[in-house]
Amino acid sequence: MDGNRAMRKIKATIFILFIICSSIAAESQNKQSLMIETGLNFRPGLFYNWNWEPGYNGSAITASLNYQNNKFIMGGGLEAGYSYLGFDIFVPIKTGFVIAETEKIEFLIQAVILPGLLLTRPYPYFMIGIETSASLKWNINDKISFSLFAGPRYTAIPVYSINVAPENELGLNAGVSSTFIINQSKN
Amino acid sequence: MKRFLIIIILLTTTSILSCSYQTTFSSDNINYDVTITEKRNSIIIEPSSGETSTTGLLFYPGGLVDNHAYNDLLAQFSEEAGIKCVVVKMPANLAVFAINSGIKRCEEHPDIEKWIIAGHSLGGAMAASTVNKYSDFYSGIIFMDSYPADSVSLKNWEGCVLSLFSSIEKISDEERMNKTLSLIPPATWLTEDERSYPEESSNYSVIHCINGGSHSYFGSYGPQDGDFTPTITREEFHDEVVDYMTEFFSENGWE
Repeated sequence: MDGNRAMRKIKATIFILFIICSSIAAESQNKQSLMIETGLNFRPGLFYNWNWEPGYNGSAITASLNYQNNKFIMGGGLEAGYSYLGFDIFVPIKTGFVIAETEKIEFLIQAVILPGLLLTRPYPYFMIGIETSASLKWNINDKISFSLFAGPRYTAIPVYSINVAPENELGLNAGVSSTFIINQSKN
Repeated sequence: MKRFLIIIILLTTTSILSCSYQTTFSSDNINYDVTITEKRNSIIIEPSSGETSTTGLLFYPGGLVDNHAYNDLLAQFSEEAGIKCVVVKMPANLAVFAINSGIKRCEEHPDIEKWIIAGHSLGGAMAASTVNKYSDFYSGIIFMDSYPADSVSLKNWEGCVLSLFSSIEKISDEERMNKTLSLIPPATWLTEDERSYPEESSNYSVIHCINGGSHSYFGSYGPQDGDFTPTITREEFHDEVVDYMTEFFSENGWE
């Protein structure tokens, strides 16, 4: 698959996800929240260039703005981290669903698309990643919650793989995050 | 919302300030008879044919330089000297984050009995730190436009040191040079006309300054901020570096 076709597919997927999430959010209007989530990610790798090679592959800090409508969550933000190739920035676009909840605990699953940049000079390399994760969220009070999450993540750097050396990674993304509700309404 | 924006701005600014230099190396355009194996935390470059030495070269890349940037130089050295080279990939391309990781990479190569460590710039300073900690493990060190950190003295180390500088400008700071000389074993300067090694078989340094190179010439990247304008080509520079490295190995019987 050439680069342009891959890019078109990625853009189309992001657009479809956005439409689905917006529609779901528009249908149910009982409880809506706007949240800031900040977290610390760890990236243990499993397969490097499709070869089984477990090992640590870097860390990142994240900040995202999330919107929750009943059980549906969507959001976007920034993830700044590092790997053995240097520093990188991802712009995670995510959608999730609460599959079980009690008064204090929520269990949710998320799907994330991660367009990003490997920060090199004179120009950065485009990176792309996809991830699914399961998250356990503990609501400390009405405003603050704390989460643990983990799930598989695939990342690739298409042009770097062509110009320099093959570079793709299938591993895990695991971490902790805290969420602050900045606006909440109940209809 | 304001807090969110501040976090985003801080993350973006910090990341952009930490860009690594891209390499011009391409794994498709290697002109040497070597095999390059890509692993998550190392790059292994070894001769494809002929006998490979039981001495290996461990390499620490310069700070914020793509770790593939040294493949051209090391491929040439590997082919000419018959030496296996292992480039240690550093987290975030900064050797300060994994100063002693070289030992773990060496353990992955039980066929190698003796290790020489080399480093460019920040990589060289961190290589000196790990040699200072594991002084019996390494038999020699090669500095490329580099020197030990002020707190690290290899003055009494039993190993051998080769120090290569990319240009006259790099050795013109007398105070810095005197400090460097005080941190390494007794030094002999090598020139094209006077290229004789000391009689000692250990605890010595040899230094050579290449005329007309630049700091980034040790790798395949750049120009780097603050680089001097080179008056020779990168290929000529690499030829000279490999020549001195090969001689250093040969003089010490590490073939």
